[in-house]
Amino acid sequence: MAEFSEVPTALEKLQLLPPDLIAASVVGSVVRGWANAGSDLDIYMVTDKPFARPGMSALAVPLAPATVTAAVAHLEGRHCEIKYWTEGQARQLLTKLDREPDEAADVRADLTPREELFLERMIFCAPFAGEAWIHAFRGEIEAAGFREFLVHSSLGRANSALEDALGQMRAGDELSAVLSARAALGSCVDALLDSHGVYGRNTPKWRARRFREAEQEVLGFDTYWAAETMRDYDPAEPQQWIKNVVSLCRSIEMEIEI
Amino acid sequence: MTGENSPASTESVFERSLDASFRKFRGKLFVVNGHHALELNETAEFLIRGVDGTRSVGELARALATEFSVSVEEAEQDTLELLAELAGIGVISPAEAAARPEAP
Repeated sequence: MAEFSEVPTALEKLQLLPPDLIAASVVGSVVRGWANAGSDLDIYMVTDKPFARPGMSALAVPLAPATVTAAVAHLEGRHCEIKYWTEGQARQLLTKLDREPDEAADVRADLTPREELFLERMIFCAPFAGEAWIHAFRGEIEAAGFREFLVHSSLGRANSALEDALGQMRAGDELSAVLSARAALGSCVDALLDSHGVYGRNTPKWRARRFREAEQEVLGFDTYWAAETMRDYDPAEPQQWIKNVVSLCRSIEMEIEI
Repeated sequence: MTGENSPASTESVFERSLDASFRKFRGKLFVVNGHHALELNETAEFLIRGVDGTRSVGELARALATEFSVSVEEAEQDTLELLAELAGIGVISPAEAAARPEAP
């Protein structure tokens, strides 16, 4: 994208462009059009071998190698975070997705938020190197069942929170039940948006923006926003709000295709 | 299957249990309540979607008759049987009086 045309040169000057670079892309809110003046510029690079320079940090991932390296810089007038994944790590993530879900736990809990974020951001990114590789990798992510993984996992989270909300409400712990119902609503809406390919459950601050982008008719924005902002919550009768939110979540989950 | 919450008549009103969760998998709707899991056929899915704490069994049956082009009598029989089965596993229960519409 022309908007980021200066990025490769700037990274090269900073010696942050790996010699064995396979693909590189700007990711995150800047690409999705949601950024504000304080937003970071996030960049993912995919390399053949691990890339490291003095001063860079190492972030743990349950893969081989066991770290993703990261650098910070100032680019395009923004604080910039650059993460370096190896192609081998990227392919291991696809293998994880291919595993059968753990039905007892109702989730496939073997993809960490950092790993999940990498995959969802590669789906929606602005490449400035290795565009063909990224295009092919996107297809592999979807073919490996990333959408199904997210929907299944978000529905599992929603159901756990719904059970918490009902249990807490029945035990008279209404304050906790309200918080659980809010969590359930968030996960349920995430599942709905995931099912329409609008990913981003690890950054809930953008949920309303994602909602606006999703082309779906299951839940209207006004209904969602009234629940999200607790518009009808009456402190004198919290149980009614809790029941309404639980009921709304149950209605939404009926419509989500796994 | 019938249980304590079986519909007594076409005047009965039911609501969905908040504990019952749903999953839609390859076009089929499944309902899970505790240790009970049920795949809903087309008729059962139509009815469970209609159960909202305000519509009577008779109203649901008439809607079912229209949707599937069957007689009202046949639809009532099917509705009573299916709702009894769903009530038997706790997926639906008689609506709380406060939730029902006032009588005209």
